[in-house]
Amino acid sequence: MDCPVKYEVEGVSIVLLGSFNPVIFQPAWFVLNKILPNYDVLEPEVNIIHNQITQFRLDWLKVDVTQDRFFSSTSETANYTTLRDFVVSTFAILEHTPITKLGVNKDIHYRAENEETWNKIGDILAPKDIWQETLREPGLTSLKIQTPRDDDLPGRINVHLAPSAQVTPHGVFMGVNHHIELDELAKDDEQAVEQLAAILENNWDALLQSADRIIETTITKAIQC
Amino acid sequence: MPDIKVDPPSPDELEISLFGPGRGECVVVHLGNNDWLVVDSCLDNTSSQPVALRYLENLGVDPCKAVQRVVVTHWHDDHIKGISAVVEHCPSAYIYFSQALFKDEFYELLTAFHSFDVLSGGKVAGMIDFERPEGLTSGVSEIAKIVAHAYKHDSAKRYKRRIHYAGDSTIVFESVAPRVRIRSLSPSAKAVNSALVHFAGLVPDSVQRGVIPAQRKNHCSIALWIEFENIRMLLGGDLEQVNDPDMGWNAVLEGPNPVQGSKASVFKVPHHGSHNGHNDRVWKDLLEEDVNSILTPFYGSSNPPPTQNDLNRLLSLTDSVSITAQPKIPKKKYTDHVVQKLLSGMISERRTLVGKMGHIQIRAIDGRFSIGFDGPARQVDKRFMRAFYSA
Amino acid sequence: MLTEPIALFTHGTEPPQDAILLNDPAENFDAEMLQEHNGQTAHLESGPAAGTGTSQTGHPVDRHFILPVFNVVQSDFKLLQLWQGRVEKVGTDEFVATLFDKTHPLSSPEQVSISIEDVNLEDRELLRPGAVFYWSIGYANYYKGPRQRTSRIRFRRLVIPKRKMVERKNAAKQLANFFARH
Repeated sequence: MDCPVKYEVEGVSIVLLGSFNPVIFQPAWFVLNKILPNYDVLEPEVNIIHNQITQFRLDWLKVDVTQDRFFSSTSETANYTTLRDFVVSTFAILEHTPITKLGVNKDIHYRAENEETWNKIGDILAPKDIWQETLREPGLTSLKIQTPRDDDLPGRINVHLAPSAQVTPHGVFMGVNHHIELDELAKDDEQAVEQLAAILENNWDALLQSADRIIETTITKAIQC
Repeated sequence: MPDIKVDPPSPDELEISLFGPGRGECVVVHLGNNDWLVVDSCLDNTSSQPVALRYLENLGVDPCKAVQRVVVTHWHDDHIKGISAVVEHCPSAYIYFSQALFKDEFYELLTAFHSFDVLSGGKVAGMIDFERPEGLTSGVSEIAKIVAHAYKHDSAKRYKRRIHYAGDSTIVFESVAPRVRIRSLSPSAKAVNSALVHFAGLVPDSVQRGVIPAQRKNHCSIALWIEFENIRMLLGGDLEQVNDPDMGWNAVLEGPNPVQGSKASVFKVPHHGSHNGHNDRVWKDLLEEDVNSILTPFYGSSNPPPTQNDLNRLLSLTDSVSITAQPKIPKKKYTDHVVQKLLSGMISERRTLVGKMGHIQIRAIDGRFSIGFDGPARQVDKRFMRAFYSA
Repeated sequence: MLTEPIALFTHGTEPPQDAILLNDPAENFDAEMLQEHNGQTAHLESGPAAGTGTSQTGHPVDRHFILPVFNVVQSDFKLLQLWQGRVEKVGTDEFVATLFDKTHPLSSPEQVSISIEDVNLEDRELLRPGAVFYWSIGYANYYKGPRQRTSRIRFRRLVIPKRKMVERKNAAKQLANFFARH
């Protein structure tokens, strides 16, 4: 690429849909089960630990669990694979957890060079001509594209692009969601957890590379670099 | 230095090609009539494809139909990178593993190191193949993929029959015109048992999943004796010389089915030319004088083989010694000076493990041999020794 | 004022995009309030900016963009180089490892000797042949405070399910029997 895309902010998250007991997911539980080292939980920021919701944050890791969703994320590039290990290990211990869907997400905030380039991105991805017939000053708030997967995993890829409120001025948010229907791959809960581990272990690098490729190609083409 | 030939060999022409980038090696042999043998695998630097597949495709040979035998002489991923892809792309080939890889102990190693259930057919349907060389693997991923695939096709009996084991006297391939016969000379029964004990020691007892570290010893190594009309070749694999009459080269020479008849005019030197792989009697009893000796270097140790002494020893035994790559390569340089500086401050020793791929190609027709070189492959002579070793 | 988003409102496996405040400590947590928020999915999906003509940050609506909020916390560690390592041998003062370059994946692996002192005390129980670690070099406090060149070695924790440890012996026997049949 002639002009590699540099993200100002980036993060990866793993989201699971299923049935969870949020109160289990306390920092101490992860240390007790040798999923996290003690040095990770010396100064946790715990918002809440409750049987309906748990939310805490460590140096590099954020965890949000409700009764139907498990969310974990990191914005430390060095710890992307550690996040993967964290999720695989957690459900190696909780191997009977009913899990139906898996999402592996890469989110970035990119800062365009100037306002003109920033506007060009919006205009290229959502041309305004058709809207200007009936709308006075059409502006892009959010663009979502979905595509079927081109591997053997059941699911889809969702791409979301929008102006960034976090990186201003001239920031663009882009998120790629690799959505996988675990319940189509497994006969029972144990098998779903095994499939989860297998997918995350065997495909982790490829999933993130795919997300990077989608993001870089889209932004590069949009800024016509 | 003559170049390799880029046209395919003629139907009655023998070819043996040796590839080696410093870790792992691959041998590709033309057995006549566009039948090919592949022994082990390593990845081509530029395409990350198994070098055997890339070479055959460049020759205009379709590996799908042409490769008749794949022999896997090593079991650790570091030494057979891409072999599962070779097996997948060569559906006509029978696959030979060491006998040790058919026992409980090895399968326990497979099932211990894999997140996918080998019994359910192996890898979960995955992503598009991105062209990147595999980095860290479990150590048995390549064999696990082959085994899982074979197990999955249980009902497809034809596939199941593809996998065979090689012991100390297994006929791997035979044909009538040209007259070709390939026989395995190892591993011996005792070597197999030794391998099984070693496998049992590698099975983890911890709940934390690791990987299998790099292996220094290969108890399962398969040495091959190839007869092509009047030409004989000995592919030494990684077979070592040990102080046991029932193992290593001693077992080959003294075993119940010793090699008889003419001597070999081509020798793939075992164990990267190290003294561990050397047996004087092999040179005296099995190899012609001035045998064409070919070998690959190994970059992964403090005194990487072949050492200067190793090459001097080989040169004292034959005039024709060729190596696929230079015996030493420079340390990797990091472009980021902060990284380079921190690394130099923290690390006492650093060695690059994989260099450029070199290729030695030997062809023979009507009793005439020709040898060609590609990449960093070279003939080992006085000039070579002066270039790489100070006087 | 929006703070940390939590995962209440997305329908799929995308990360949370909308923010609802739960700044209250646990004792003030109101289950009814949670249920009420759960019922407001459609409304919150479009973000607080919808219909108001101004963005979250108070910027006027731009001709091209109206600004919703997607919060990814910026890491303060700027990564320069990442390796994944495999321990080969452990000595008294040093261990030997093979490093696989994750930053330049096409480049050759290297074998290195590293001082055991560079391994955190708690990780040392994991230091054995075959152990996997991640080694990152970069700048800590990159955006705030005095920058520090940092090297971090972190050993991988990847737990095997107990059930798998028991099953593998049976699986191994099944495979051996299968291949022995021919």
